Amino acid sequence: MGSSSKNIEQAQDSYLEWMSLQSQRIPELKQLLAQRRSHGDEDNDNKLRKLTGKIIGDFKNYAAKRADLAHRCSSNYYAPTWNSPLENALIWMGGCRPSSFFRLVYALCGSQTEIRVTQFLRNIDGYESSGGGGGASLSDLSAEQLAKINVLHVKIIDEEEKMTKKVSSLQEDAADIPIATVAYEMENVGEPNVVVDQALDKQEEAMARLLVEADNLRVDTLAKILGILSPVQGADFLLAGKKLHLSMHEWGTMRDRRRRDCMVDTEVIFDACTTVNSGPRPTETTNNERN
Amino acid sequence: MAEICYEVVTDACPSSVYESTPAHSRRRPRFQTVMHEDWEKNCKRSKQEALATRYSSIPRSSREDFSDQNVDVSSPRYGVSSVCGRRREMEDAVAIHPSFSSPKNSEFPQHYFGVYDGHGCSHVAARCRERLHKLVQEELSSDMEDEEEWKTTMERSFTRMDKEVVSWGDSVVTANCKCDLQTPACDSVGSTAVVSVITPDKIVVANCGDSRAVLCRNGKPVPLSTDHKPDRPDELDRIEGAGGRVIYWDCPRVLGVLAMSRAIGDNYLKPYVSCEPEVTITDRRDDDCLILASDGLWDVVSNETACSVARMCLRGGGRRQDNEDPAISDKACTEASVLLTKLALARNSSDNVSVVVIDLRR
Repeated sequence: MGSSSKNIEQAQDSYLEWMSLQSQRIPELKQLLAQRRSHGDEDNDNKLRKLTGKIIGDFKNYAAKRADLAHRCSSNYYAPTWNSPLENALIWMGGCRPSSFFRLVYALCGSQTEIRVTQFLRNIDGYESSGGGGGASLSDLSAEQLAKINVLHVKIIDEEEKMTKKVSSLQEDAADIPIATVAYEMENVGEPNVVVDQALDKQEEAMARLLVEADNLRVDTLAKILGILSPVQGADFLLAGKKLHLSMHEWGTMRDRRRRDCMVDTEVIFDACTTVNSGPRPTETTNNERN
Repeated sequence: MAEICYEVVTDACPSSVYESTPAHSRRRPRFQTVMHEDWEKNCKRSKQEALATRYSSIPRSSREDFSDQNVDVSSPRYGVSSVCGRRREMEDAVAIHPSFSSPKNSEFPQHYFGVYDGHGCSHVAARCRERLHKLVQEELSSDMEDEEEWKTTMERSFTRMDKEVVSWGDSVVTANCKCDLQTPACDSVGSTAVVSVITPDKIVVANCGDSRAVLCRNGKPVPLSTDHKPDRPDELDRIEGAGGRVIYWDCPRVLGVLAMSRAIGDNYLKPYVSCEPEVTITDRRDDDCLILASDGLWDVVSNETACSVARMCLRGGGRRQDNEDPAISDKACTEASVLLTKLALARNSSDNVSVVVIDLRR
């Protein structure tokens, strides 16, 4: 018991460390992006490349730590106590869906397209790719980049579906022999049982292996997307991803807190909650997923 | 997939298309289903298709993927963009065959463009991409077809295409799609088809379903096809005349299922859903370009906007660092198709988006 609670602690510590590393990377990304935008030279591109490479390294390190700890406490990664309920509701195999990276690309790509098109239609000459040359932002995605992103997208969805199938079957195993039958035959609910323990250990180990696979897919997808994007686009994309992840964590925590406060608030719980939650908040969007 | 509603079909429903549903009864009772829902579910849940990846998008460098061998001088200038977008299945397909013509006809270059938007699964759209131009080629009877001949050619080709996909499930063992071509799941799979053949003096458009062809003429949009929606009055008459019903379920649907009134495939909805194309033949005049696209674009971008954007790109507005590149028009077309795709994504299009822009300036 002692060692496994230590594992969970370690898992939580490594998560906190990860989150603080992510917030640390935000100003670094911002600074280099600003530099690159004022001086569009090769040197600044290289600096950006170096930083995005380092950030991929961060992801790999964190994934390695998770892999190391997961085989002893994989359930804690599938439903982390350190996440807000909102984040846990959106989680896929212990993290974000790799396919959500593509939504992020499209969201960023689209955010400026409308303005551009309007400018473009008003004045032909007004249509210029922003801030010093091709690939300055995600909305400058070229035809070739868009096509590559699309091919990767379809492939990753496929991978994701395959993994979802694997985890589905593991989840179903919990309702099968021996766990279900032992539970049925027991006189008292929840008595300790060696057979069940062994089965659940096996189950958690299998889940741990899947977690590693999923983490690999996440890191791999990220690296491949960065391979398609220009240095500026890549840095912008990472910045957006980090901000989204950290923001979702805060928003989730805030919403959870509000809901708890509501519940204490006696009779009018339901009304109060709906009022509080009906504001036009960015978190209300349905397809946001953690990055 | 948005086109299909597997939920409910009934003979007991009111015949009115816009059947009014009181707000409180949004959850209507489930009526008798026309198809076997379980089959549908199995079809959808089984193997994710990989088919889509092959032709799903076209970087400029690899546009050969889309076409036969590119042919020299008479090559048309065009651009293509086709993305999965916000859906989890890629069911759009695009076919482009420059200098396509009948075996007897080599003198007059004519070019084939097709956009197919599948529903239920990707295999009918994929099959159209592989076969429909060949069928059109086979049906072409002479060098210079007149209007009636074009109409017959297109109708015959679409009918043959439909027969092929309907019988395909029985004859072909392997398929690279999620439903694995298992009948009867296969029966509920179909595709739109908007096809255009550009000849030196004419634009022929054959359409079946809710993809669309829009001509930009003097900066103004001229639709060359009319979407086949079940609530289009003449389509509604046709469906009801054949004994079918159009039921409103989120939107008007044939038998409460399919949100378009014509399609290739969809055997289980025959004859209410017809595969007969509507054909328009337009003389080429001062045209800027032709846009073919799936409803992923048209749902969120108007004909006017699409036309203006494409025209601006062709006039060099979207040009970046290109100088006097001979392939500039090609680039501009690609730019136009990509910009339209991005615009659709920016406007939250939730479907696959496929856009073909063909330069018609001489």
